[in-house]
Amino acid sequence: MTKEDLGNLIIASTDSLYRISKSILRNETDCEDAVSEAIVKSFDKINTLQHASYAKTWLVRILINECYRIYRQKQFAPSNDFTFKENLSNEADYSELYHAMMQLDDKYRIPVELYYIEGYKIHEITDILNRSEGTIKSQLARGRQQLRKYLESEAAQ
Amino acid sequence: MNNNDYLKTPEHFKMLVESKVNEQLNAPNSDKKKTTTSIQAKKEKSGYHFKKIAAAAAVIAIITTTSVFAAKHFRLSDYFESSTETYNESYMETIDNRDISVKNGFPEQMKQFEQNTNKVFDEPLFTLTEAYYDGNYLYIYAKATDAGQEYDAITSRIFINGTQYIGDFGRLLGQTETNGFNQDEYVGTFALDGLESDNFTIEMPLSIYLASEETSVTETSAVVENDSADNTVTPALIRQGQQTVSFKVTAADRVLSYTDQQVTVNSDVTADISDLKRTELGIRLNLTWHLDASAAERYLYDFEYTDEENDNLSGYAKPDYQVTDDKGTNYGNDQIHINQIQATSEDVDPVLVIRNEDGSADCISKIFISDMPEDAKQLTLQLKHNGQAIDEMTVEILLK
Repeated sequence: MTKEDLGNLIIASTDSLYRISKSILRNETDCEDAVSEAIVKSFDKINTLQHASYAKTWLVRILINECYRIYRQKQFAPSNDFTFKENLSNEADYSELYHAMMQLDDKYRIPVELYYIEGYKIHEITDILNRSEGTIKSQLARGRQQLRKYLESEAAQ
Repeated sequence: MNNNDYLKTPEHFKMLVESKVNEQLNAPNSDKKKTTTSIQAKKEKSGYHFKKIAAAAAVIAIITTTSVFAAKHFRLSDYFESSTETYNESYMETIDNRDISVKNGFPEQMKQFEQNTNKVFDEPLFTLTEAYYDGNYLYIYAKATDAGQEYDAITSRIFINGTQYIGDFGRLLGQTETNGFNQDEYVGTFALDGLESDNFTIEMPLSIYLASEETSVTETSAVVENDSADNTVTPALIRQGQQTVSFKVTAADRVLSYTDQQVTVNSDVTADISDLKRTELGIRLNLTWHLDASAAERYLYDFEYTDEENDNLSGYAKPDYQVTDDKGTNYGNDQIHINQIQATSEDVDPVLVIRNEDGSADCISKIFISDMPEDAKQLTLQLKHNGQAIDEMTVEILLK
């Protein structure tokens, strides 16, 4: 894969990169940092990508690793400038489904995001998240269950 | 609803991505890693570590059973100083190379990621000479051997008793100008949380590449590692092989250990405090609540995550602890780490609940409380759930 191909892939995947980073980090600035760093690392490592068909999965994996790195730094930083619920009050433009997704526990939200929003197959998600197929299936099921109950309870209000 | 209705990407974000891509497409190779975000991220991480270290005044890494308090200048000090943060050099130790073992290939847990190469790496590619363990984070320093000059050995994980811990290890490429490091120097940083003992043996699985400016210190993903060889790959970036380096960290003799305690919490609840250890970083302990059948019926809910079966869908309520000491200090959330999970974003239950056949239950937490005054003689731990302290679940712990 050439650098130009990678550049095109990244630009074509912008929406996806945004949604995935937002599902883990939520804070806009952190998402920008994670995606910026993922772009740099993907160009750095382009020659280790041996099959172009894996490129997007590979890119998402790099992005998720970056998101987790920032997540860890922020989560345990001494200052209290970061919470996962932050900015939600300013996100009136976000869809109801997005708000519902944000209520999911992290371990369910990311597989649900990748499967239902981004359209990845289960075996691809196992590669991206380095979890077993059984774990992904069960996390999808539980995530679905939580999401349904949350949306039902919202509708009832 | 299409995906854009779900979450619309802001225009400024699109512009950022385009600009980053263009920057990378136009950047000369040697400048690739000198991005603002990269450097900033590194500094943020380091800053936090150093603040912890400064606040901690002394948990130490004693590396190996024959560690030496060497009066030498540590390269890790230079690494720390580059962040302009405070640290304490007296906590650094020299690694004795006699206690380091090297073998070809990955450890058992990573065999699936091993690539068949014709090269055997059973000789050290670097000399591991320094370490700093602050009770949470392990820093190591190494320098390439003559034989290792042509290679870059990298990893993003280590194993201790089969458990994986995340971090970074690799040559300090891209940081040489600002920190005064040479390209044959390695630094590793790993978050080690939830260790049962401060004496442990580390297994470090290394992916070995030919040394190159192109090689970043971050390990590539398993997805890539599993890919088979391809003629289009630049030779310098093909993995040459794998190696596992093992070494010991022994910090237990710098840790003050207390005897186990059993506390009667109320008529049908007791608590065992074990593995109670104090360093200048803080207090570490294992707390096991024993609830008899009737107590389990009344209180078990408070020890568990509230999940969908309890119809609490506005977020998982999880158990928590409120901690004060006899000096009147009330410890904040940033000082209380339960089942420390800093190395992973995976959710870990703060209390492990074991239900017994007779209806009783055992509820177990590993707790670390940082920045504790030296003269504190007693701790009061109170279980909290949904932000509410539960008065009946109060444990007094003696630090004498």
